[in-house]
Amino acid sequence: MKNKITFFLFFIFIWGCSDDRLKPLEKETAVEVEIPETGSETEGEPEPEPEEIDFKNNTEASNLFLAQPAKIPVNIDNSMPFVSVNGTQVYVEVEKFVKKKDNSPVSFPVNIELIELFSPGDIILNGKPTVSNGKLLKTGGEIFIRITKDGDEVILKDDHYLRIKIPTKKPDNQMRLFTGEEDVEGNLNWEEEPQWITYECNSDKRQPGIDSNCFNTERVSLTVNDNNYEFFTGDLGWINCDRFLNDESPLTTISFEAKNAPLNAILLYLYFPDINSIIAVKNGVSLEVPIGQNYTYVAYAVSSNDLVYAEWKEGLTVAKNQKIELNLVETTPEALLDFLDGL
Amino acid sequence: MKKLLKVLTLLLMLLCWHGTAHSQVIKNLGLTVNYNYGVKNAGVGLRYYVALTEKLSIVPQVRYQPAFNTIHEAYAGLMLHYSIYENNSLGIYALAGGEVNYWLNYAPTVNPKAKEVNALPELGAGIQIPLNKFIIFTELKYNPIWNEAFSELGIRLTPNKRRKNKQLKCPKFI
Repeated sequence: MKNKITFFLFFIFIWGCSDDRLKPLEKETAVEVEIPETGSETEGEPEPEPEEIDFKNNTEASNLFLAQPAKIPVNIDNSMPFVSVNGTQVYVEVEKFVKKKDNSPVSFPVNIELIELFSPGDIILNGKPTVSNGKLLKTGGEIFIRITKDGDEVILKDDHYLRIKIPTKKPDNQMRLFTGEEDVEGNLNWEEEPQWITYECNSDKRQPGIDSNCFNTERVSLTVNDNNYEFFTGDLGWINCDRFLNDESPLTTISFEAKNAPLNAILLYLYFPDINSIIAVKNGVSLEVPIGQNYTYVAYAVSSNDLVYAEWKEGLTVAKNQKIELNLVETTPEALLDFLDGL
Repeated sequence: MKKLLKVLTLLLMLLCWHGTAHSQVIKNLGLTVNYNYGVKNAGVGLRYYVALTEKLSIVPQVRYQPAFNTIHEAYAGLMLHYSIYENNSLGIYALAGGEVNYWLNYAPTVNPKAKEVNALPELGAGIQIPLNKFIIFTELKYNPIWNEAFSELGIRLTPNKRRKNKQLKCPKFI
């Protein structure tokens, strides 16, 4: 008998929980509206077109996620580097700089603007793919550095170099120094800096690096020291530690088509995790990429009312003349950022 | 509302008549609080116990559910309690009966069986624990028409708890 009672009580708790009396009838009637059958009253009427979305252009869309440079006033001894929160060290020696507008000398304090793009997600969101004249680069990290004095941009004097260290978890001795040049459309191309820098100690020219290295007559532009890439750059702006791939695989392009957004509104990137390389796809056709490489694609567009439409796919392999159809769906900026953070 | 008052008046008259006609039977008053799991509403109740036999009692009762949510309603009904198990410290009983529901702020809902006034069967079970001057009890009831379950927790006052008959005491002989 006790078992029967227990079962009965259990039955009541499981099934006796209808909240139908809390639901007003209006909601239910809305569901029950009859839909006329196709071919009766609506015969001959065209199927309604899906609502057309007004997308922003590429530049406007990318602005949604652009990293803003950290602006830090610097007033320190020349022998001490400025160290960013992400570990980038900049040895600011003001005597190396002049104001760009009139070549006048510079003194402390100066202002440093720094952007650090060390992850694939950050590189994608900031639209700075790792490509040099159409060739893929393996990246060890990108930075943007700008120095100002009283609001005026400063530049390095001729044959003077700024010493910078950027942190790396996987040091690669073949990395080289690249600097970036943006065209009028904001596309960035990386150019390799000369591998050797010549300087003379017994002249009035200052040498790169610290004075104790003065006895050298040549010095490699980028070295690996204690999980840091250390380099001397003669140019400020976009700087990248990269190297070209030693990949003899045959190359191919990947073509993309988009169902629900114009290709010129889509920001489309391919990420190759095995070589830590990122390329942008313009007008639906990629650069030549090695067949057999694993890759991930990320595509997103932003509507005029700031809704984000995106699609991403991981674990793909480059195949000859591969074609992919994109189907962007509305998502949240957070979901896109979460995915990119996980790359 | 008038219908509800009529029902309540009828019930009270029935109770009064029963009380005067059968004063020898056990009659107790009970106070309850309840919670409806389906519509998540709570209320208070009043009941009257009339023992018909050693195992069977008839329990007229009223309940009032204030408008804690969108539902404001009152019930009046009659239950039969049948004792399944009883000892000095615990009693278990099954119950069945019916209630008249008056939904004071009735509005049509997706439950087509719910109207302004409703007759509802109920069945369930209860546990009671006798203490010195009262009995505490809890019941679980199920209303199959609306598919709603509710619990009641109450106290049953037992001022006329049977005492030992003094006449049965053995006379003292000195």
